[in-house]
Amino acid sequence: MAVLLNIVLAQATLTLLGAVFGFGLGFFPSRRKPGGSVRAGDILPGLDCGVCGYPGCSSFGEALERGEADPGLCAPGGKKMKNELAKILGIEISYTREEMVQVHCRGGDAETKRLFHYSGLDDCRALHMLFGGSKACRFSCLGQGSCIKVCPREAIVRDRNGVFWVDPGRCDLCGRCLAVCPTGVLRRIPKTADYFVACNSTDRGQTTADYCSVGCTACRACEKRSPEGGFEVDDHLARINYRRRGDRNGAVLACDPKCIVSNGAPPAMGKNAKT
Amino acid sequence: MSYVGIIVTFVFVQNFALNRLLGICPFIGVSRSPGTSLGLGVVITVVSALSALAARTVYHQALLPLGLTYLETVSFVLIAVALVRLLGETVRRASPGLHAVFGGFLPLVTTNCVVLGIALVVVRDGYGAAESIVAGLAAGAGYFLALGLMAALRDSLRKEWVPKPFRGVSITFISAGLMSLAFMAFDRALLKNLFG
Amino acid sequence: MSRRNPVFAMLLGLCPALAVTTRVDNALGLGAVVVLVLALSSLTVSLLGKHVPENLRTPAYIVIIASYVTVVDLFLRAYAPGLSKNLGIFLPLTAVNCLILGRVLIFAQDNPPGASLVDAMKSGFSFFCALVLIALVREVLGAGTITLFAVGPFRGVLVIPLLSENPVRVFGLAAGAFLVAGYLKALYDRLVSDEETGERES
Repeated sequence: MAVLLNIVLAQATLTLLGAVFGFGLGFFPSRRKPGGSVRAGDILPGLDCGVCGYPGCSSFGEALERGEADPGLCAPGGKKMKNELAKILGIEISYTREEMVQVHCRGGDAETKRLFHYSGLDDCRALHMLFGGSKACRFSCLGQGSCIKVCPREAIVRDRNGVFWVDPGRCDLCGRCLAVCPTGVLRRIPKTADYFVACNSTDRGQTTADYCSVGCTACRACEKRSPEGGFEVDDHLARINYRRRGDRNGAVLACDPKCIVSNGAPPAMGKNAKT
Repeated sequence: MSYVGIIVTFVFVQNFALNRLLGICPFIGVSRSPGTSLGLGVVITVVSALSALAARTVYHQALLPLGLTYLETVSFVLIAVALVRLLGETVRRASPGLHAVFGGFLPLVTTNCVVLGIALVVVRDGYGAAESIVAGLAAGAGYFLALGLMAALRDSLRKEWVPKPFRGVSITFISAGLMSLAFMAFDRALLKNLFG
Repeated sequence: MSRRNPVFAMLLGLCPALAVTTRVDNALGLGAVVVLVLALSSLTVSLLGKHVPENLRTPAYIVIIASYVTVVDLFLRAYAPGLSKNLGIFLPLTAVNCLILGRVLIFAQDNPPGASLVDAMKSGFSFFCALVLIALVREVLGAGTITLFAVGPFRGVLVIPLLSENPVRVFGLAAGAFLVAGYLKALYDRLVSDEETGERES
């Protein structure tokens, strides 16, 4: 009998507590609105665990829709949920999101016109202060090797023509070279990238062609030949959208200045070979 | 224990994040950005004070007289969930501006170990009503402190080179470990010397 | 250690994973509690989930989980008082363990009972493994012992000769928990390709 009483008592207490608080809760409308299109926030677990770094699933969902957050941040969600998210957000999620830095310029001594001969301090930033560099292209790699000096992994190599290469096997994106490069010719690409557009010039096509034989002339041949490869010419420069993973070989062959180059190991040279 | 003693205990000696290891999931996730840490810290301080008081009241007024102390877990969980929602709605009606800044953090607090943890600690150590509020505030403030320090640390860590497998969460864990070591300087002996 | 380990890949249930892993027997105990509660809650939620109004789901599930935790808590108090005392507030805190709530919300509420039970067992078991692994590292380095349950003539404590005389005490403290978790997470990331863990500093 005592046991029964106890059970009833426990039931009653919890019911009372539930009723008191439930009354408060019942007033307030659901966070999710029924009907309408599916939104990113609805797919998230609703766990509000904070692992993503956002204060709860709904604010993470909003950040996803604004394109600020990476679906990969939701560690509890798992692969299936990420694929669903990608479908809703219209993006493709790459699972190996490791990035590296690459030198987007192949304009060595022979390819790019010079404005003057520089014999000052061996430093890109010093050179950049003089008319933005000795090359006619103000977007180019200045070739003084400041990035080589700061790289802790010896990932950057200069070949005989004064062209710089980054070794995908060595770079692990510490970002030091990005900090010292004055022209912004060092940009990030996915480590898995097969090709990259080795030009940084946003001058008009004809202008670029006048001073550099390997610069992108914005002819859009790559867009036409490999539409599935994610090529986009924007601001007079071809870029690759790496979320698209189609074949890019057609574009590589079609590129007249041959500035779509493969992202592989640098040519066999002595480390930090000087010219 | 004096109020100062309670504050020092919960902020430093028994820091919820770094010493008692409560609320680690959001600690690792949220400390990624200083702004989010600030918001969560403030909200958690308020909610843990309220939850400590509410839990203590329910325990001593309802559960203990009825002999239902085994319902503490269920009822405290219920209290925390309801409290968070009620607080959110009250703030939204009273001051929409405040809600816009801090309201978003409320879901994160619902299932937070800190909030339930302080409720259990307060009841098990037999604190009075005023002591419960102070303990709740202090526990929240300690968590806030740890979160703020961690966010600042991670902000500077971002500029440093870290061995590859350690990037992200691993280095955060290790930094938290070192910070926890630093917090060991605050121990019971210090408390005794300061407040008798 | 599966590829979707709750502790190392999903970063869920970190509080107990760090707090109770000072000794192996505590880790075994709490791990078993989590497996049991997770299995029972998943089963219940997969049966009841469709009848709960959308905006009351989280509170309802937490109450279900908390009830099971209470049952297990009372059971341990009666039959394993030592373990119950060692786990302290972390036993009731299992009620807000984000792993349990996570699996319930992500999987159990939209899936049939059988599949939910299998999922719960899988996640629970890999949580259990992670817990025991952390505890093993911490206790061996921090105290030089491995504490198990006393059975018959076996007293329940394995003593490792050299380490028990010169233990690295810090591993038994809160700081050690963070350090061990950090190194194990790094090892995990190294061994398991980042294809699925998907955590990145940003």
